[in-house]
Amino acid sequence: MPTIVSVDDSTVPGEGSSRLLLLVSSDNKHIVVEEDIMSRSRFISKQVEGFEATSQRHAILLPFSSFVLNKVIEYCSHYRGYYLLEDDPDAAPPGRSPVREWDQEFLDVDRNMLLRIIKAAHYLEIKSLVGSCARAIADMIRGKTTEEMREILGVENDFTPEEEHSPSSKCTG
Amino acid sequence: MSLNLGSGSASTVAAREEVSQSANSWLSLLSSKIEELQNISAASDAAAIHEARRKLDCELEGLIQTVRAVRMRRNTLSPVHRLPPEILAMIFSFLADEYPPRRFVSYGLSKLGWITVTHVCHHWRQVALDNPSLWGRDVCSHTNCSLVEERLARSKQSLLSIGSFYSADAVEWMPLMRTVFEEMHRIQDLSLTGEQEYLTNLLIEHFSKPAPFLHTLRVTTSWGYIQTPLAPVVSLPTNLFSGNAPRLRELVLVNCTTPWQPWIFTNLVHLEVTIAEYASRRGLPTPEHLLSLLDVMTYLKFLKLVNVLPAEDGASLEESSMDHIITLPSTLHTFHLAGEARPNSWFMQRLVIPPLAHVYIELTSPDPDVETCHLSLPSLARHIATYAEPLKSISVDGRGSFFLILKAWTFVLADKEFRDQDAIFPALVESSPPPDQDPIVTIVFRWQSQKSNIDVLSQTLQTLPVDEVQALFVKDSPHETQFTVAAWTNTLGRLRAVRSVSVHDNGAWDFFKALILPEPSQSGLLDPKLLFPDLRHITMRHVNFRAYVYDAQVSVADGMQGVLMQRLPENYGLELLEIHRSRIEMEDIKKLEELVPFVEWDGESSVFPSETDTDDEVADLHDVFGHDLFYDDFDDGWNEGVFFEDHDEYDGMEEMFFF
Repeated sequence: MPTIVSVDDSTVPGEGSSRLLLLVSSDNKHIVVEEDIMSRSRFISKQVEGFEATSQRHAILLPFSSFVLNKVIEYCSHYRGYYLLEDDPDAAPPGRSPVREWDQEFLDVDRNMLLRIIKAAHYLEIKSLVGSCARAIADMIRGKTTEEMREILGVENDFTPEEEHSPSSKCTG
Repeated sequence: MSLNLGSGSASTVAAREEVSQSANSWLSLLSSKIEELQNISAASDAAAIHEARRKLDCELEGLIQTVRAVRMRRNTLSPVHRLPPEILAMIFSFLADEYPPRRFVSYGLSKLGWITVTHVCHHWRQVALDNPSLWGRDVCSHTNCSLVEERLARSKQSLLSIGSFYSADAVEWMPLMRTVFEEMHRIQDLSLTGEQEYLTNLLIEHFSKPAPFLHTLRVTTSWGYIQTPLAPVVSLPTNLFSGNAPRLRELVLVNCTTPWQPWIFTNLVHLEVTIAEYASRRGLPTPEHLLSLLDVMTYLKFLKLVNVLPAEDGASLEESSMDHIITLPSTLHTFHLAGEARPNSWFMQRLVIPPLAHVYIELTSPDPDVETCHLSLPSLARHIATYAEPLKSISVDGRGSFFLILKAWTFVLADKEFRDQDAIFPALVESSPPPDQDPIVTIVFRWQSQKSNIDVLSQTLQTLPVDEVQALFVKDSPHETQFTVAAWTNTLGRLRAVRSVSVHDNGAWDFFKALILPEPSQSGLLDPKLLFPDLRHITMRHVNFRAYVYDAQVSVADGMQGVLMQRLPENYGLELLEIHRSRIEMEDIKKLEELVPFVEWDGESSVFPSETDTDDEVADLHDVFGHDLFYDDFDDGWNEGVFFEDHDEYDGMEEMFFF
């Protein structure tokens, strides 16, 4: 759960139709963003519902850096007002996320950044972004050998030689 | 993992020292553990040597386990390790869905390609094993029975997707399928292809079991067998799923019939029934019954019926008293009807197709009577009249003497967009709506004896509303010209609003002649004025000017120049001339540039493909060469007619499955 701190109204400007939220990153950067933009995040929406119940305004502390948070905000801004099936809590889950050209360009980042974004998206419960990131990671390793996959994602081979090479029909499921 | 200890910087010296200390520590520990063996040598007695070896083997195994533990611990520090298991499973799921990375690998092996992730590390393997749905998809992509059983076991009780092709070895295939059909209660997606005899046995044995989660059912009788005249098609049993398949949404039957009971059809969103042209029609519904079934399918999005209507009923249907009109649901995005002209035209007359649906009609005239081709046209014209926009683009493919293909769009299509989605027979098999660029109407006429497709085209253009067509695409035969001067002036000349003409292959020469030599219409319908008075843009593609268009004595430039010089003084506004992949030289282009404001040339002087061509460009050349060309990006370059190739990277996939 995030830490929630009370904030003075003067910290968070905006009382109009598009309310503003204060998001605080792990590197203590304060980022003001319109609530509409972040409504794609189920996590943020739930927080906002909580604020309304208590009639208090809060800043939302998030456990990732401002660099990552800004990327997520960029994504949410791009799709502001768009309906994406994956983010509809009332819709049946789609079989798989569709390929969106903009997402592919947006996620053309290095491996570590991609992993940070997907974790942030998962934390914020933005299913469409999680799906697009997962697809991007899958694209990164598709068609690669196990050795190449380890290299790409920085994973060690922790199998014993027997586990790695000896076929067995043991069902471990 | 390796430490870079190669340079002499302070940090690497320190790292080397650290490694040395660690090694000394482990070696010291090891020494103490095997101290008791220091007096044992090769000269010792056999029992002592045996015991020493056993002890050392234990230590080796322990060290391996220790190394593994260190590696596992190190992996926990990897960023990817911190991904929640459900996300890792989602990544694997994408891999499982979208293998292979390349097109030209055999189906079965490629489907198991994702299994490599289970050999990356323990964590990944465990995540895969903890997600039964990963194992439940494409369960039968192999005919290895033990592999399929293992997949079923790992899938636990998750829903299954089964795609099985009959292998030549029934001894293997039948038991495999029987194993799979024991799980009918959790099959979600079932696609079965096989020979009539074996399929019939399977269907009788297993298809009366309830299938409460079945969403998609595809049954195909192998085409090779069904080509025999009046060959019986496979029939689903009358007690299909004991009437218990409430989630059935997609039904695809190829050379297979079903009990035509309303409960099967009511909830369908996708219905596709294809019967081979010469197969037996036993078990097919009457046209009236089929119409009554369509009446209850209120969720339908995709409808394809090929040779479903009995041909012999064609004449009697016209006597039918049925006058009920069925309105297909507004959800329908694809309507595909094919078969003999007479019964299918009768059928179309009794349907109202929603305006936004893409319509694909393929009609065959079994006799030389050209009129049967056109029985459907009035219905089609009425349907087109419901569109919000008139037809703006038309393509005519007249390359064969036995068919004519006409496609139409309600917007002005550019040449490139036309080529992007052009295919003789589009693959309208997906559930999803056709892409926006796909033609809103496709009509294919077939006949069994050679006849002039220009006559058929002429009658079609007289019936359909084509007055506002602005873009015309014409494909002519690479071997002989169908589109003569008379065809251009009398038939295509009817399209008076055309501003852009794209000519493929060898219609070009007669097109140019027609531009300046209009012949009075014999039908008297057209004024003897210049063809396409608003013409602004000409594109020529795959035109072998040297071989077909001009006499050997006349140069390309001189020939075209002569035409353009006669045409342009009339100032009909030709603005752009595009020439692609045609046999023409730079000197010719320079002469043309003197006459037309803009000449675009791709610089190619040959109609043959080059290494830099994209797949689409090569596919475009398919018809020029008369056979398929495929690019094998492993090492071979362009190949002719080779579709599937096995590659070494998939060797051993089956072995990788068992761990």
